[in-house]
Amino acid sequence: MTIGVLRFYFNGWIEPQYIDPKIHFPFYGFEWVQVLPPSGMYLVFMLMGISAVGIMLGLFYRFSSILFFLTFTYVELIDQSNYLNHYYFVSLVAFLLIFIPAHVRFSLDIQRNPNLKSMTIPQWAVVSVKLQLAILYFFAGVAKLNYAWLIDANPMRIWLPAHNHLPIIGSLLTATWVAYLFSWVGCLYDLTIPFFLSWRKSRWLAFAAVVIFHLATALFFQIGMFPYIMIGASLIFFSSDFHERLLSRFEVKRVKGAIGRMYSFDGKKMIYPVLIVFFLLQIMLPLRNHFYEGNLFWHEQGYRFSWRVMLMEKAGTAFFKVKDLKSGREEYVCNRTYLTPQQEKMMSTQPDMMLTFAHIIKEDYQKRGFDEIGVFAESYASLNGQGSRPFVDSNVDLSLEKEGFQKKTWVLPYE
Amino acid sequence: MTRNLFYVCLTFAVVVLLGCTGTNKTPTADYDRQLLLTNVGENIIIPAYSQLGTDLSNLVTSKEAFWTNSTESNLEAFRLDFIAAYTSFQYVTMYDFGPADVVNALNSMNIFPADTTKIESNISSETYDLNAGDQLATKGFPALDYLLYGLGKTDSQIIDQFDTATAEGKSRRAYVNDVLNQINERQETVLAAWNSTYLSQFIAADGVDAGSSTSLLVNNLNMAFEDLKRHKLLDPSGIASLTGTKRPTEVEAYYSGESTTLLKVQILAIQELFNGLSYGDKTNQDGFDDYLNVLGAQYNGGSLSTAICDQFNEVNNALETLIDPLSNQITTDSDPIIKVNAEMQKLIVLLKTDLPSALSILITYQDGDGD
Repeated sequence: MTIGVLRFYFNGWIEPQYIDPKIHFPFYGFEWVQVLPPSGMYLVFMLMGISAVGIMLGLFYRFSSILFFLTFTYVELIDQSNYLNHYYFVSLVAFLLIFIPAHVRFSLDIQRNPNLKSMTIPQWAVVSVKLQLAILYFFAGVAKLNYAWLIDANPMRIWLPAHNHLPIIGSLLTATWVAYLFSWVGCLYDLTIPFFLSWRKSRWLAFAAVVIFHLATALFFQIGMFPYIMIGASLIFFSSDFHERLLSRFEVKRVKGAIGRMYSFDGKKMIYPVLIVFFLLQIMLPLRNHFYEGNLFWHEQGYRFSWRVMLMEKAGTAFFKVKDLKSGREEYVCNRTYLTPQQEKMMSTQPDMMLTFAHIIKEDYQKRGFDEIGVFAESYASLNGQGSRPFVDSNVDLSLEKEGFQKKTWVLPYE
Repeated sequence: MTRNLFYVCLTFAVVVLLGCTGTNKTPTADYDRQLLLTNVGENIIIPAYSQLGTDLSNLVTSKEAFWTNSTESNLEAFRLDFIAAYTSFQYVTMYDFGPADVVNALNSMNIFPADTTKIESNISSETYDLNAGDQLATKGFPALDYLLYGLGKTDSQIIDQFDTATAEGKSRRAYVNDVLNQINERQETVLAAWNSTYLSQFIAADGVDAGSSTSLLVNNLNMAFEDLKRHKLLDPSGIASLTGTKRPTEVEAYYSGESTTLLKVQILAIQELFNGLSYGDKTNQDGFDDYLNVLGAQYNGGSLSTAICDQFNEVNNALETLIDPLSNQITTDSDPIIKVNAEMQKLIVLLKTDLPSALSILITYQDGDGD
């Protein structure tokens, strides 16, 4: 994760994502999360980096893990247009790490306080991480069980040929059967990998599959750290003997502690309820889309936080119009005066962000003295290269619509 | 457990095979993007920058001729060369990346409306730095447009403004020299970079990630199109403004009155890039249309490349109804402009949504992660 923070910094991504934008798209229910001034944002990223080092070395572990969870999650909550499934995953695991005693065997903390040392940790600690991974993979797999993915091999059929410039495999990627192979193997992989990793006999083979699968995705898609995080995280499925052998090479100085001592801490009573709620939520979130009818990929209600990863090729264009309700005059808003290119791109395909943007536009115009106005969107989107078509109802004043869990009736049906 | 898994796998494998054999309808979509990039780089972009260079040096020559002998006919020749260069410039507006981005070429050459007050104060003070950040609207083609056409009602009045007998006239000539030199320098730097190292870099970056040449072309083409619609049509015409204020003097090339002509040329340039027509003899070689056809990209039951070509034609047809000077069109009748805007909007949807989607290109200038 330290690498992740440094990569973010050195790629110069802090500025365009958190400092350049004039406005942000907060998550529903988290509108109170505000961006800090530039120096503040750099400080947050610095603390995030330091706390990640702390977790890695097991130094001031409990404090580091809380700090990392808070800084990372804070940064992700600022703007929806930066939402990525793997950032969500990192936040979730960071939350688990707060509770998990990952610092009681190979850590600098036990150099400071040998009494911490423990040869074992409770079952729930390891199981919760495994369960977290299993939920991710399983729901990602279930999400792939749809017509476009399995029968049309979309979006692989669109994405893979674009990489035909790669040496050796390049020309292979343009073949239709390869797109099918990727789609089906990907689906099968997601659905079964947690099981094969759990089973001792297939574990090494499954881990090889994890490495190959994620390296392949790293090659074809711009998905940053995710493949490496997942490869690393999968090691949790290996036995404790394996980790003992692996990690003892790095042991600085053997610290004598109560050998065979069982790890225990005071919050034992509260840990189970916390974990149960945590995982129940995670099982419910990916299923919430079933409350909304229509094409989920089109209206995207219940799309986020549900491990729908690299599932569709979607693009859109949105023209926003401010209408003076008295004079009937209309004005086209220049999206770029408000939004960064990244924000504009994300907004154009996601109805909830279009709604937020409409409200931002109205507020801005009202500040400038236009009182009785409405905000309308002429928008078009395309799914899996099937041709752009009208996206939201251009007759609906979006500035009067409210964000919430109710169905967004102003999103036109996908036809 | 394992046994069940085995059956699950087996079922999947069977369905995979069925799936593969059943729906093999798309042809192999193997397109070598280097063909597109080579054609665009060698036959479109470099010749376009070269032509601009030729026109600019003609402009310098006719300017010198006018300085030596300030007759009306020399002014006319000077103006013709100016329009020629301004026209060639329209052909490079959508290549604001690579070397052009480095020298900030576009920003320095065509920010309109020209700030005439500031230009005049520059001339009288004789202390100005055209590279300064507050001088965006005092230089480039819009400044020349004003200085060659906007200084008086008649040609002789304009000629008088350049009279070396007055300090003002001398300083005005110096200003024209400086503005033209700057355009020339920028053009020379960009062309030199393309000719030396950038062309091969451009062709070699044949991926589709952010920063690849295909992505740069599509993104900048879109940027140019959205900009021209807003700055050349929407803003000055007031057809889409809450106050309804018309600003006819804010069109491109207001003083020469060549706005509509230049607008048509710019759109033609974008269309030729899309179709891969070489700059000089308009030979049809590899363009985005060919690439889309190889991919089999569809739109509304037909091919996407045809849909885009047709929409370009719709835009061009609508443009035919506009008169020059555009400022007169704005003050007399906005309906044709509304029509052009509507057709442009449809084209933007195709270029900004369908085109990048079919090519797996993201519309973003920022390098970042997905999903």
